Amino acid sequence: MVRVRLENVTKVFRGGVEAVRDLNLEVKDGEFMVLLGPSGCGKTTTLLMIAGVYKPTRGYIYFDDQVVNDLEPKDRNIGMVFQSYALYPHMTVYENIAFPLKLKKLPKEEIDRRVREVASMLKIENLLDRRPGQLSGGQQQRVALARAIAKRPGLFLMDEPLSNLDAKIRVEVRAELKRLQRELGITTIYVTHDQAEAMSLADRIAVMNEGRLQQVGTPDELYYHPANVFVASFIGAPAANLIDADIVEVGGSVFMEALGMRFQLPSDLAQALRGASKVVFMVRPEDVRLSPGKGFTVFSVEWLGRESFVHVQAPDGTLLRVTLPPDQHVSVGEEVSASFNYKRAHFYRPNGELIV
Amino acid sequence: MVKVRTILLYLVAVVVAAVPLVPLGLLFALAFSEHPVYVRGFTLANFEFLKTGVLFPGDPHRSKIYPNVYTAAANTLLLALGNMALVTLISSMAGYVISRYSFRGRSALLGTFLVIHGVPASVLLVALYYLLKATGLLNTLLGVVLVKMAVDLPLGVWVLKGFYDGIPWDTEIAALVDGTSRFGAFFRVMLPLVSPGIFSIALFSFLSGWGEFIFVYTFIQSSTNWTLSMLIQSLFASEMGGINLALIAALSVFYLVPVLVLFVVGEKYLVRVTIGGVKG
Amino acid sequence: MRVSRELSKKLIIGVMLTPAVVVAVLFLAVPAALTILISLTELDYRFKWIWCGLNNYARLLTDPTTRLVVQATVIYVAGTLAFNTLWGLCLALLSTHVHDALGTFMRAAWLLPRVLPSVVWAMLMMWIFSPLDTGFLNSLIISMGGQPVPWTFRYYWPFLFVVNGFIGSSLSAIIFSSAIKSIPPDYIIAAKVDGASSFTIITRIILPMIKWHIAFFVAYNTLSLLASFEYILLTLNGGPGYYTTEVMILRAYHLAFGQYMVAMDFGYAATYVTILLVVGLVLSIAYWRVFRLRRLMIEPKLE
Repeated sequence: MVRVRLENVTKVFRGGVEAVRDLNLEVKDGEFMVLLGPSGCGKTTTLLMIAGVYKPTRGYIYFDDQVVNDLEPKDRNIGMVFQSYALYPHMTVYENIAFPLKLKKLPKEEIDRRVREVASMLKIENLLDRRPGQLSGGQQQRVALARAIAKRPGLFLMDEPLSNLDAKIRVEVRAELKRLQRELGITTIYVTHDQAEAMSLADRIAVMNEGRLQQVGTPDELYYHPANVFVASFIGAPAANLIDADIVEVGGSVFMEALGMRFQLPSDLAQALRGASKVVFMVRPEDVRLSPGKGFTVFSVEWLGRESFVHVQAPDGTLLRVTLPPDQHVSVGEEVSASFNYKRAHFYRPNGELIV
Repeated sequence: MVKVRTILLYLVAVVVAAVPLVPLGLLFALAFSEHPVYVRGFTLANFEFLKTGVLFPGDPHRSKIYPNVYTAAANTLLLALGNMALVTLISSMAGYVISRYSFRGRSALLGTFLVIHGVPASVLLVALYYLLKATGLLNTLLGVVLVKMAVDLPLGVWVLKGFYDGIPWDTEIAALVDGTSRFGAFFRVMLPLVSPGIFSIALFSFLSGWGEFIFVYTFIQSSTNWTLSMLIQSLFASEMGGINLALIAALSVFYLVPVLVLFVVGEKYLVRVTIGGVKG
Repeated sequence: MRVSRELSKKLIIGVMLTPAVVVAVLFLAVPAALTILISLTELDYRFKWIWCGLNNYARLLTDPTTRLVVQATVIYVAGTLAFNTLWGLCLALLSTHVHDALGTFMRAAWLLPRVLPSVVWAMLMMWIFSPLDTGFLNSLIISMGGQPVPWTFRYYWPFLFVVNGFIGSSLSAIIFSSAIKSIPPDYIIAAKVDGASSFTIITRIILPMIKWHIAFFVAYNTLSLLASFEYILLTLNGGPGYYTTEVMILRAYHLAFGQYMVAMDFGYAATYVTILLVVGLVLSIAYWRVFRLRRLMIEPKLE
């Protein structure tokens, strides 16, 4: 299985559009790497460069230490799955799966063996004679997967393959996909804009925005230690609270002035924040604790069964997102006080950089 | 309960639909008519020429002026097939490149084709006559085929480009990833998927060549190179006094048979070409 | 040695695009330029290039037939355009308000004259509307005891409008009906719920929503009609009488290819054609801008 490395990869399109800037990324052998980011962040362009459909304007792409910039897609031994499935409408399911094998000029018996093997792996044996137009979305998805797997590629590339599926099926297929990848051990690069999908599937996630890599790490690392404001806001649902704050020093203690109130900061944090004045304070909804008191007013409550999702309004009018454990109840209009779990919170400079 | 207005509407619609079919019906009636000029009775006598292709078997003078019907039919077929083959071949390639590749001058080329398509070929007749004469292609069927093909090409390119545009990029990328070269992707995936478009253009250009008149009228002098359209026109122009219209009608029916058959089979495709030619 | 990607891309474009470009240049661009050149000569049956500058254009201005020719052109274009557009609209509206099967049949029936070879249609029309006793309509009238009508002698413009209109209105009908069909049904439903009558729906909703298509057709058809002459040639051939229906392009044709196989005055003929070409080019460019046709051209994604 293949190891992929991108070195200073940049892609500029006709007309001057910089889709990808200076991307450095390494995908380990057998790893499930997800490229995550909003529309237009360059993730699909990156995927297509790895596929060989686009050529990098600058930089190099390596498959196992071999530069592949000039290698045609057909010679890269990759399997690709698309959001639209891209099945050939004029061929049957069997012919669709067999197509890449036929192009490799494998003997007929071998082709037949592989097609049936992969079809049973994905439970589509009974669909082999049908045409794509007669299949449901979920079935088409499996055929697309089968086609990619049958050629025994060294690398899987997937471009939002689950986006067109119904929500319910999506969750099921997600789990199956993860299990399949583990079983086959093929290096996979997966593109999506859905952070929940990324978190559940990935070994590691590469977050991108506006053509630049924001952070690479395991889902844990990204969730608990986001490297900048963008990653902090993008990962996690409901989204983390990002609050503009001022750091002031009064009588030897360090305080944070935010939301129209003043919060005393623990001494270890105070050390790290010395010298900073304006910051962005990041705290996740589950790290905000509410208790009877004053300072905040409950604005809205959504009871979701296993937790409550609450908005509380700060003295300066800002709404704070808070998730409450199932046994805690508040009502709209109630006055509460809020405290933060500073161990899990982060501070960033106004330009997005992490301080602590 | 059905409204009176609805009944009226449908009645009007049926009548309106029948209107263009009436002249056609009259043509058939005249072709089978016993009288050379009026529609009367039924006979197959007017179709005697089908046996040998000679229109006026008892009249050696006329027989020298007018070529054998089957000669004219063969010329017509050659023109139609030639036009069809060339237009389909060239436009399926050009349409692909224009649809899928980005290159300098692409917009200009497309724009040029669009502009050319809007202005009829009649404006070029004078210059084309000169060109054909200069290259020795005047009075040849080949010359006419080339001119006809050139005139039908812009439409072909536009329509086929539209069909290629309709194939998702993902399908082509999938083929590339699966192991084809770009040329391979064109033959194995793109062409089969635009086959309705290719069929439409083939049908259209065949019929266009089959019914062609003005180029033959202008560029062909020898009657041995006449097509059926020329034959019919020449007969009608000289028989204007109303001598034997039924014969001309019968000949027209003979000429029309492929047109009607192809029309019934491929009307859907012809409509596509019509729309495609205007909306691009 | 493997061919580089850039080179193979250029090769593909070259091989697949060149035939079309060559044909376009040879048979369309070159003749257009040639026409302009010929208009500046005295080229005729002798086939000798004798430059005469703008003499032909001067001749055009002083020729008494010019006025008749231009007049005929204007009447022809305006009348046929009106027929094509209005009748096409009627057909489109009618065919979209009845059951789909009947509507499709209607449009197919009206497409038939357009698909028929021009000589057959022209001949048919000439026979039906012949001013002689042997014409179909006249023979019907006579058998019912009436007087034969000199259809093409007296009503030549309506005759031409009908002959050409049957051909042109099928095009507009197809365009308009496809435009009508693509109007989101929600608008119509909302109007019906608001209590609008069918007539109001047509005038206040449908027509405004296909405005672009109507305008486009009018523009496109004007261009086509300016240089269309085949059916006029096959039926009235510029008559009856002295240049009554001799449109500009027909005049040019007669000048070049001789009504009586005499003149073959290519130079003078080319003059008329050059004017039409220039008008056509100017109009086309204007349409390109006005209809923002650039939008029709999406840049391709692959390389």
